[in-house]
Amino acid sequence: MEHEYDLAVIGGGIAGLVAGTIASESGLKTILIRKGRGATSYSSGAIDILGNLVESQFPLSPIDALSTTGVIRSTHPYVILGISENNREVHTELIVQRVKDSVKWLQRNLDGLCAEFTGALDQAMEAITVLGTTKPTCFVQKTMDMGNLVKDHDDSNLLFVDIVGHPDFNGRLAARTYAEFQRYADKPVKRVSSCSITITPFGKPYNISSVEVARHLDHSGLPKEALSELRKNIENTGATHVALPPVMGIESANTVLQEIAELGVHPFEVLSFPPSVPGMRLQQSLDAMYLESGGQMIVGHEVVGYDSADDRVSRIIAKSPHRKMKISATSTILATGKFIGGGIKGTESGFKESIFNLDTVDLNYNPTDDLRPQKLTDRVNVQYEGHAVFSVGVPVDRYFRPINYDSQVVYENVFAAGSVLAGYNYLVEKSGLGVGLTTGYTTGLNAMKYIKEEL
Amino acid sequence: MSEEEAYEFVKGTLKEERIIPYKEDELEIIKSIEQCINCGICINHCPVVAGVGVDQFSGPRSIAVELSRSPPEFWTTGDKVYLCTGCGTCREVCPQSVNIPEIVNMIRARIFEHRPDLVPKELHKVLETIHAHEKAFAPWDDPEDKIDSRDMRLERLGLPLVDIESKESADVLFYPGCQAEEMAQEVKEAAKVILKRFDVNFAVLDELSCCGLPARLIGDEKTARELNTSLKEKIKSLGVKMLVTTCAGCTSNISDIAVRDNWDIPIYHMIEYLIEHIGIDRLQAEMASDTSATKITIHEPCHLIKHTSRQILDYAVEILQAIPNVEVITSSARDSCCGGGGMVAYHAPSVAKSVVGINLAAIDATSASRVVTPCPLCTATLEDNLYRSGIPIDVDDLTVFIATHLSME
Repeated sequence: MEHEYDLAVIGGGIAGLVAGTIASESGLKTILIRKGRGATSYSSGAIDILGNLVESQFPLSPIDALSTTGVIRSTHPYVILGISENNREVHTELIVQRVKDSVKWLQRNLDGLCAEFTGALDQAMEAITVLGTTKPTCFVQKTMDMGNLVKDHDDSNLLFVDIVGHPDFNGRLAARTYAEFQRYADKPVKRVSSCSITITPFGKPYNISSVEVARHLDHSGLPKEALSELRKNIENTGATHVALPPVMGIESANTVLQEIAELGVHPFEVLSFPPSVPGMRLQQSLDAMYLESGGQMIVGHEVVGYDSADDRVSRIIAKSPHRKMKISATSTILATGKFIGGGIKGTESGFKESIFNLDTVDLNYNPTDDLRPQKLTDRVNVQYEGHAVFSVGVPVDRYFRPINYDSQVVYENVFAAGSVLAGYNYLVEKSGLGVGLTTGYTTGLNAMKYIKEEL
Repeated sequence: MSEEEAYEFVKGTLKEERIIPYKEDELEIIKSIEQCINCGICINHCPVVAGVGVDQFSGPRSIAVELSRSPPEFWTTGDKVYLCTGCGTCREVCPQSVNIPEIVNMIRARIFEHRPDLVPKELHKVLETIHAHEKAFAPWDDPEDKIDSRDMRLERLGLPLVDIESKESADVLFYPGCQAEEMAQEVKEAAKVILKRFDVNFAVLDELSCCGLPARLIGDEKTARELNTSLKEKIKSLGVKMLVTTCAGCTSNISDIAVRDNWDIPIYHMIEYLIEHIGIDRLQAEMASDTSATKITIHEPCHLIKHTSRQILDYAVEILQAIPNVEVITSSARDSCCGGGGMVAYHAPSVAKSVVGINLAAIDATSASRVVTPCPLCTATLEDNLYRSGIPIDVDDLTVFIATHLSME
């Protein structure tokens, strides 16, 4: 059976879901095809826009960083956002405007959902992680708002709280690392300490996974014993702020934190690595947003083939464990991610885009089709510039349509969004979800224009 | 030593070391496991972990990176791998498509081969039944009782008994599966009513034999493959052009073996057959319009949606929306599993109960008065558990629900 749609989105991370929502809420018949969960599900709870620029050597606010990008790099997805319709030149104000628009749009759409976020584009934020280190970011989930911990507070006293038998967060270790960092801080936190509380989802205080705690708190709230343990420790340490592992509930984290706040402190969750509960909240909220807009989603299907005619992709073929589905769509958005999502594959013979076999390039749009991935890594593991391999992706024109090595648009009805794009290194820049959001937003609009024959 | 002799010698040592070489058709599964990046997304979604926690069931990631790696681990992890309900959620959320449900079957096959004493004893009992009757359920002692039970069920539902006149040159084989053949006979009869209404030239097997899924899930790969071969021969001798089943487990398992063993006929679940071969318009035209208004919610059988295709669920919704006076309400259950999969309920009923518990709460929270599901096993499991929990919600197999909503002829 043939299934017909206006728009097919391949990939269900932030880029695909945002693009799909934009199209679907304006009345287009949209289908989103998703194979598995990708990098969006790994979210630490922070939505990075642009943490730092490789070239700049010092931290900038996201707006300042965005303004600088246009000047130093022509191939960055943010810069492509800034190409004006009229004179085809890059305008910094346009970059900032488009990022602002998409952030505002997402903030409105996630309002009231469990991944509701907070922050501002003109302020760099140094969010605390489970390791006690900090990470430059721009927006965090509301439950991770650190309040006035590092600004306008003269005698902040931070208490790291972990859960007995929960191996993903060690409060003592985090506290020690964070305290170490305070020596170099402009406004150091006056005192840092740690303690443990007991939450036992299945009656045992050991071998507890994050998601268990979160589901348990959703279901039965914070246990009284845990709250009194916490009260005692807050009294003993005189804490003003409490850092918790990001497991305070999937849906009900705000309520749980509210309860802790009544002890007279400002509680917040720290950022974590996968498998993370904040990632679950983000994915769940984005899914809900897309479905609310009326879009259709087909999970568990991998795109394994396509038909093309006259420079257009006319049909895509999606495969589930035992069935195949033929989908005809006027336009297709490629939001398949990079190495984790599987959008870009690196083999001994070089890099290729995995669905349409598109040409791939690196940070500066140099071909990578016959480059071994090892060539783009550095022997030094941790370094400021990161590994070039993470900026490999597909090159695009000003409408985010993939182009080939001759700079020709490959298929006039295919657009690319998110980390399948080349020209930026999300790891060192801290720009992953930001690029996903803004390019998803823009390609959604572009695909819409194409379908309405206005492009 | 000649090459031939050397090969035989090595084969002999493999046996001694209790290593089972992989079959050709297993290699793809083995390769998928190498792709695991240890991210742990699966733990967040596994319904068994949600039900009992990682301390009791260490979760899909642990199966991929620890429990499946080498023989001693195979044997010592029976208490963990036999708790997997095989729902397939982990494979669906996995960014690398690691085929964990199949890996579980392969580990179980290796435990079964070398350390059958570590296989839960309740499962050996199921195997005895399978060996004796080629079915997962023992047949009725008195065939008359079976007929009485069937007639009672039909009378309660107000469905007629359909006789199959001739099965010569039938196009379609209707395969009800063990559960609908022996236990939920109304599902088998409802399917016959539907097929007859749309003038389908269909046949059923005189002696139904199991598709082999329960044996495969227990780890008895040899019995499973024997049943596969036996079923293939029966179907080939009928010369049908396609197979239609009402069972979710049979749909995914037969779809799998039909490709592996070159059956050369397509396999459909009743829902797919109705949409793709009968068409929603014809179906809608045959629906009764004088039924009372009902609010229903759908339970998604893992074997149909996660092991076969999510598309089938969209078809199910399409069909239900075509039935007059039926309102479909979405349940908030995510990554749901009825707990009846993977043969877990046979030997660890408390685990199965914890898994279904999440579902029951979600079903109870809807305003639906009825749950509809396209799988006889899910129907039975949900019915039983809802009843025990005192939740006054009825459960219907989707095929039965459709048949009872057809207009009177």
